[in-house]
Amino acid sequence: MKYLFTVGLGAAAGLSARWYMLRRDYRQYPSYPQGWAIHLFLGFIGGLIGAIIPPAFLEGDFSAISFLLLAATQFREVRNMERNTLTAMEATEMVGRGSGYIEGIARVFEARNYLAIWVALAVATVSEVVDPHRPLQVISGIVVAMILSWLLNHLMQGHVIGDIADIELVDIEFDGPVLVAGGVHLMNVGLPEARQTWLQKGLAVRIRPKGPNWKATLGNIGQMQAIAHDTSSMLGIYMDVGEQEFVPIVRRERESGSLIMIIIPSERDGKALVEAVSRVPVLEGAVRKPLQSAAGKMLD
Amino acid sequence: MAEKQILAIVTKNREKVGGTGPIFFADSDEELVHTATLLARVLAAAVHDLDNGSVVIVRH
Repeated sequence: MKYLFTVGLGAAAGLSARWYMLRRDYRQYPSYPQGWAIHLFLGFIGGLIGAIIPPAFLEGDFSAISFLLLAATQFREVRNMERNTLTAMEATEMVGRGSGYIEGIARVFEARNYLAIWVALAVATVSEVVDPHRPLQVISGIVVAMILSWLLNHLMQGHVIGDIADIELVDIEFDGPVLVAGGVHLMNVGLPEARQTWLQKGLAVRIRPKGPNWKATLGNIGQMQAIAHDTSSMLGIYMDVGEQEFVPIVRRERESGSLIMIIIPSERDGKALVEAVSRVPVLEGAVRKPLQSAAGKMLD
Repeated sequence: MAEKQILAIVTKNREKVGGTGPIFFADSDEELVHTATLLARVLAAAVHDLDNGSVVIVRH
């Protein structure tokens, strides 16, 4: 089979690209090793689809191409799969991710498979162009795969909260039973003991958006929940099951659109909290650009 | 936002409360806090102070 080398090279490139885009960080998602096995296999299938397209074109087999394109659309299922898994796991999280974050994660996983297909397609195309020079096929394939993987991954990287907002610590105080931080009423804490715990161990930050566009983005409830979830998973949290008075809370300051978050981390370290909040990803689905509308510009 | 529900009321002030929910009466602040804490632990709910001698146990 004269195209075997090209197909193998393209599929390997797709798999490597998918592997490169899998990241193991504090989120531990996709979980290791089963989650990885799933996504690497899907990446391999995607790579194979991408790699077969150029040979099919060269053979003029357009029915094969149609089938391959049909197969590529099956990757929509990846998004459903991720959404179902994460939604099912939501009840087991002390601080939930929220549906906004879940949608964001599901979308990323679907998109990465398409990126793997692009890389495989490009590598297979280049390989066919320089065919039958084997060493050149391998070298050019590797170069194209590396450049394209890096480029696509780079382009897909979104903002983090630290890019779009200034974060500063604020004090927690009580107005009667109401917990107030940065001038915002956050919650009613009924038990004197719980109030003491908040005062001694709690921390509060103000997340001040760097402009009207980011103000609208931070106002998204999914984004607010994502900040609470990610910060808790980075810093750990001081609460037991059912202790709702110690759940981290994010609220919005009406006047400025800043967010105030209160949390009792495992250890009281303000610097670590600011760092954690600044690393929380900005959800793609939360981004709003009111300044790109005529009405929004009039208000600014 | 999840549905919130008042599961119980604990009060020192009989005149200020009423209705069909479970109401627990306390004679002192200490008893009020103690009863509310126990109820909150059993019900896995939060205690909120109404600042009039009553607290409500709310599930969020």
